[in-house]
Amino acid sequence: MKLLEEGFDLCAHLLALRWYHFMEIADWADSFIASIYHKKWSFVKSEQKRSEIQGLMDLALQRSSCDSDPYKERLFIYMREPPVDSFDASACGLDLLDDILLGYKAEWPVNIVITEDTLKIYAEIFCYLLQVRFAVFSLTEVWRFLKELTQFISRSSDSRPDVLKKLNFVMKVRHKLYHFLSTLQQYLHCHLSDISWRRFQHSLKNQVRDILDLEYVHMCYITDAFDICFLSDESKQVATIIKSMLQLALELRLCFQSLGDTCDLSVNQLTNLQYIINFSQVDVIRTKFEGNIRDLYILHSKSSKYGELGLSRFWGYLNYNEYHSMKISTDMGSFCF
Amino acid sequence: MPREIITIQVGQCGNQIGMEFWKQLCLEHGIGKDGLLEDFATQGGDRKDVFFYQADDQHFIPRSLLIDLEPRVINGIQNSEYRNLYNHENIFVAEHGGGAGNNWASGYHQGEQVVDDIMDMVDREADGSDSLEGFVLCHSIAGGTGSGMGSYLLETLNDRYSKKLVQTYSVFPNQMETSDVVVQPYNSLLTLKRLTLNADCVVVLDNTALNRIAVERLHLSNPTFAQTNSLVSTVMSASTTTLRYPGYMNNDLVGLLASLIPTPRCHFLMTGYTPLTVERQVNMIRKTTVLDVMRRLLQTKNIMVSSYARTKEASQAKYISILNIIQGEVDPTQVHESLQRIRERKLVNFIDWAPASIQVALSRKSPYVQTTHRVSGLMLANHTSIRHLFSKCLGQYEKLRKKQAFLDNYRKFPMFADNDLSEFDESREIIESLVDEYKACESPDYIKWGMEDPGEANVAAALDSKLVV
Repeated sequence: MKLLEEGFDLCAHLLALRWYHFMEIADWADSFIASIYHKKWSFVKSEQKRSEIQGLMDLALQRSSCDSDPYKERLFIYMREPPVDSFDASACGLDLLDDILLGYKAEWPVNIVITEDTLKIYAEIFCYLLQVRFAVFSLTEVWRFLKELTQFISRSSDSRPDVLKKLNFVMKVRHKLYHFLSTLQQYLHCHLSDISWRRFQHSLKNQVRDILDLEYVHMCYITDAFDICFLSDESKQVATIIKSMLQLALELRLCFQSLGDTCDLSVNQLTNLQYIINFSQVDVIRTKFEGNIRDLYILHSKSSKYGELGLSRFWGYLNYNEYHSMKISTDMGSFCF
Repeated sequence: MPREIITIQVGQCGNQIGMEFWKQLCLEHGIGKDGLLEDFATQGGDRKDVFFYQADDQHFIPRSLLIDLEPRVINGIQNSEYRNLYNHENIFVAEHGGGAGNNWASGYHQGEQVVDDIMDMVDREADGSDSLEGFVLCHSIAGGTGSGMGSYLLETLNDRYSKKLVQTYSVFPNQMETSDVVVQPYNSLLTLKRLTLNADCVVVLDNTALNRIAVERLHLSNPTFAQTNSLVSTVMSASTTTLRYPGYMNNDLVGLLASLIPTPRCHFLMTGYTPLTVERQVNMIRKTTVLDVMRRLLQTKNIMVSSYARTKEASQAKYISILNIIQGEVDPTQVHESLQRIRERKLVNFIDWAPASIQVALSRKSPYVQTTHRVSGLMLANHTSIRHLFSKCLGQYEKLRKKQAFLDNYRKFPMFADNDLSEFDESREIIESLVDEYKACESPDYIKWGMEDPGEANVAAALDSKLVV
């Protein structure tokens, strides 16, 4: 065991997995996401997909703060077999990312602890975190567009304050979704990368006497991480809601016909904002979002206080200013009435 | 890929706070006064390339432009120990060296005349970036150069780099003491218009509050500019920590702004920092924990904007968003407990019209700078009480304008020639509208503000029908 820890630097491998798979340091993941987002996938043949994505990841790592880290060489992209969905070239939905998994080369004797099974769980967590990050990125692009549009309207000689104010509706929907996702990110980061890691460190120090203990403690750690992400069978309902929220974030982006193209806008178009923004679709997204929040609230209310710590904490962060619970009770009150 | 940021420091104040910022960044990244990496700076993992680039001989050069219409401050920098740090091609001092005479119109007009030279420098820096994220402007809003020329540059940047972000660190004048600059209210109002229309985010650094903090918190009876500037550089460097030491979230400027600024026009941020110390005050060390830091960040006395007062009106004020950047030896479990405690004790009054919470970023800190406290924190907050600061500026402007005082100084310049003072009126309207918008943010109906049909469920339909001309 001593040899494993000192001779083969087991701790450094575990740290690397935390660093890359749990995105402890994620500047590389941000540029990886941006490259995936901007890539024209319709021109990429399905058999080239893996190598293209690998290339994007290598470039992102090379230009990140992880540049000089030797452990980055152990990372490789592989695709889910069989794929969850066909890789729709034109899609910008989550199916684009559903099949991307991150592997890690762990040789003997490190693979006695970092087993193939645990690496599969690491890869699933990475895939999930990548999807969350992709959805956040998409909403950030929407923010950028709304900001440019607001500035454009404010500065145009034919400034229309009424038009500006009407954009507030879209901004609120974006903000609610963004708040949901950034709160999810904060919850995941705090619990996955910090608290769970500390627990793991504590177990390593106090519970491990032999290599079997070590493997067991590591498996507990990664299973715990899987639970934190709501990926286990017990939290399938929460996972479904989160998945729907991620999809809504991507759909919101599609409500803008000329995202990132304010340069081509004319003042005339501003008076007909519905040609630029599909308001009805934004309202559909708002309705779905509120339905999801209601479902999450019901799940949270039904869950035992101690049984599902993860959901309780996540809901606590999400409902920090009690906006969601107040809204649900107001809506339910008016419904009863 | 680095998300580079180009810093533009304009005028006396802008260059002074800019200089302090670069000093702090050099210390934190182990870069010597001449731009060379110190021998001890062997730990990687930081992103120097966001704010610096490397010359062929590997020394680090700030992505920074130093601009002034009079030479005193920039000469000071060029004669200091840091004289070799900057790219000398990026320094612009007006040939006449006569400044802008504390006149916004003069600064703006001179900006117009030298814009090509300055934009050449900006373009060169932008072309030298891999993936430019945006610009940071350091300036004051009350004088002539930082306010007037800064305003012109803001407009130009917005025109030429409309896809890039523009953030400012804007120093507001001390309203507790009589200023030498009698036309300060005019200058401030005209600059505020550009900060509203042409910036994506304004970090408000209020000299009134900075002085109060220096007197009350740091027990300095008569704080010097150097001492208040050191507070500013602390805030500036802490607010860029997550960009320079990447972590899980907030690794780029757009991510930071998108979460702090839900509605683009309300983009004025307040800051708080704790614990504060200045040199020679190492005896004021106390025990710091995450809860202690997060609680103190919410206290009025630590907020670096004076509008955050305990008046009846201010009690209606609400937080739109908060980001706490915590550095040091942090037990992550304490973050959750601190958030719980703050909520239970109702220490924060948030908006009612959307979900809001305290975001916490646990950021790495420089291994090369020894701090006396275990934990430190910066709060970046979008708070509606900022409107009182703007109202104060408006009030002071109205007083001066009523007397028609000192307007001749402005009429000398093209924008105000032929007694055309419409620029003042337009600026006033824009700031009034901004104050109204922040006030509306305090109401649960903010999103319906300005709409005839308040039924949110029908908003989409209402929008479709009303917007067709």
